[in-house]
Amino acid sequence: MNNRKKLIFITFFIAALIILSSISISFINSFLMKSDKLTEKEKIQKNNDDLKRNHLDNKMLHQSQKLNMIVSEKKMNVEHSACIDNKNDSTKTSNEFTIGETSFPVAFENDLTSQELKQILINDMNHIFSHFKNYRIVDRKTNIHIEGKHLQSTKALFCYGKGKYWPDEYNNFGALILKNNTYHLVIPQILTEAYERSMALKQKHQLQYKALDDFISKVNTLSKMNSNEIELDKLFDFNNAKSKKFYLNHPDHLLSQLSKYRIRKPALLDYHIKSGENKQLVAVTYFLDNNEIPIFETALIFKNNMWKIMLPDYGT
Amino acid sequence: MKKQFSMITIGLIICFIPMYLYAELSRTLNVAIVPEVQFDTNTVHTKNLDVSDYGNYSKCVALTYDPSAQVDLISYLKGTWTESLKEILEWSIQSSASGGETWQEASVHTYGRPSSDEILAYYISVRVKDTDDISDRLILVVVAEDTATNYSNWLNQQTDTTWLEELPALYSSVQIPISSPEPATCSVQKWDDPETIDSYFHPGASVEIRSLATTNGHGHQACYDSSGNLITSGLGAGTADMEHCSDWLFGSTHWEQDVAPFIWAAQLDGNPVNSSGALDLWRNLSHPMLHKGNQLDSYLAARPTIANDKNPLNKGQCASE
Repeated sequence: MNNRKKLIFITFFIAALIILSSISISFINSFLMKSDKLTEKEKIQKNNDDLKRNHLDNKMLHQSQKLNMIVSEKKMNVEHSACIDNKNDSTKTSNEFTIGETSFPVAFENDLTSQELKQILINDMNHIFSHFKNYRIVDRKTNIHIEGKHLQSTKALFCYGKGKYWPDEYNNFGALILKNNTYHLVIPQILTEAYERSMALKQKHQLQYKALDDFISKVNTLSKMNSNEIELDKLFDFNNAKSKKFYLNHPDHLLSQLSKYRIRKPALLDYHIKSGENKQLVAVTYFLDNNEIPIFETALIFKNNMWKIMLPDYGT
Repeated sequence: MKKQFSMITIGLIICFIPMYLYAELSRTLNVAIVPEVQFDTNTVHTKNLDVSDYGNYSKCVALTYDPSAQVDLISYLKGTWTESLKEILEWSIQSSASGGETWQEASVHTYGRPSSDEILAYYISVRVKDTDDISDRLILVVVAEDTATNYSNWLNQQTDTTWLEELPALYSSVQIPISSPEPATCSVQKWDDPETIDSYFHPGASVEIRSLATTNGHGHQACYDSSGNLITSGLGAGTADMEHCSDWLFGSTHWEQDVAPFIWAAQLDGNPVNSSGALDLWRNLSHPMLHKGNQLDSYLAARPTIANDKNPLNKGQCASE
């Protein structure tokens, strides 16, 4: 081989080497990217190890909870009045979330929450969802952070039935996590924080909160009172003179409408300070039908040292 | 030696030219097969109402809540997006139009569950990674699970329209500053006093007059623009009320028959609106509407502004009994 041929050969050899190296680099790159993704997946899988290990138990558990649900539905048909009595007692202490005949232990994202606040939150949650008797466990992926681990919950509790009303803070509620073969309802950090704020508000207005209990008891027994004894001005807040004139001219209509329903005690998250100049304490709650199902939202206001029902404007 | 160096250089150039061409060609091919990063107007709605509250958001879509609570936002884009193509995009999901963007790669969004009659709105932006320009924006409106059924049931009940005949004729204009067009001397008063109105329910209306309840408890509403002229079409116009607005207490029939169905229709058309709620005494919508679509059209057909063939009245005229 003469020198010239040698040079050409070397040149092409180097070029071929470069091409091969680029191909190898891109191959290695893509391999690395894939393994990166695998590592991400593995992380979640590792964190979800207990979920996977208990897959079969999970199925059995699901079936048994389903069975509970069916039993609960059947019992509901037979023991309807008993259910209503239980509902009235929704403030009873429990450390589980109860729906129908099934109770779910809870798992707090923020485990540093005080025992007292945890109990308050669970009681309030049971109060808000007390009218739901049916549920399904559905597939839903939710990223949660619990016991120092980032996990992905793949199941969620889905309550269904009439009266789908809850405070906005519960819009992303329902993630379930398996612990010791039992579904636990995850209480998101954001919910705990909301209750911390609500408790601070309650602390500031303890007398008003107590007065609201008395006011609701009074409204819920109006139908037993003689209509002449009822002072409408002390029950209702009229937004303007026109409304006041209209409603006071039709007192029987107002009272007969009101006596059809009971008012539910507001959830802790449903107390607010009204925006505007006066910064009055207000609470959103619901009128309940004969089956204790919330059917319509209403607002209550603490004004001139007493609670009143805010009436919609005439002609809205 | 000089000759050898030249030969090596030429050899390298010869090798690199095809490589460069190959790279350029792949880039060109790649660009050709990436679809345009735009939300598909065949799938989503486009703003057709005069409203400036949503900034650069001019597209919206309604999605009925599903227990899986997940949506792949890619499904709203034009064209076909393979798994590998998806990787060039990033997304921002905010709870208001005015919030800044926070970018993420995942196109799958887990949404919340709205209460009855309510929606949850998500403000979506999409862009190609490593670029500053936002390719497109969309308002995703998650509608409560019963809303579509409730609206469809309500619509199916609207077959009997004979009650519309009972409604009084509308006054064709009102005087500004406002005064009642109906003389106090009319033997039968049909209309209440006019009032100013500034409501998202009737965008563009400045004055409204409600009729008094008819014999069977129905009502009518006339809306006027800032010059006092009757608005006869579109969302600014007043609508017939099957149940008179005085029946407005604790889940009243007026709410069930006239107000809630309007809100459902607006939500199903992709408008990010709720009732302003109990604390605001249900006086308004929470936000303005941006799209009038098929559902709102069907509502307006069932609750028309021009309810019957009675001739409009001029100021000072009395309605016939």
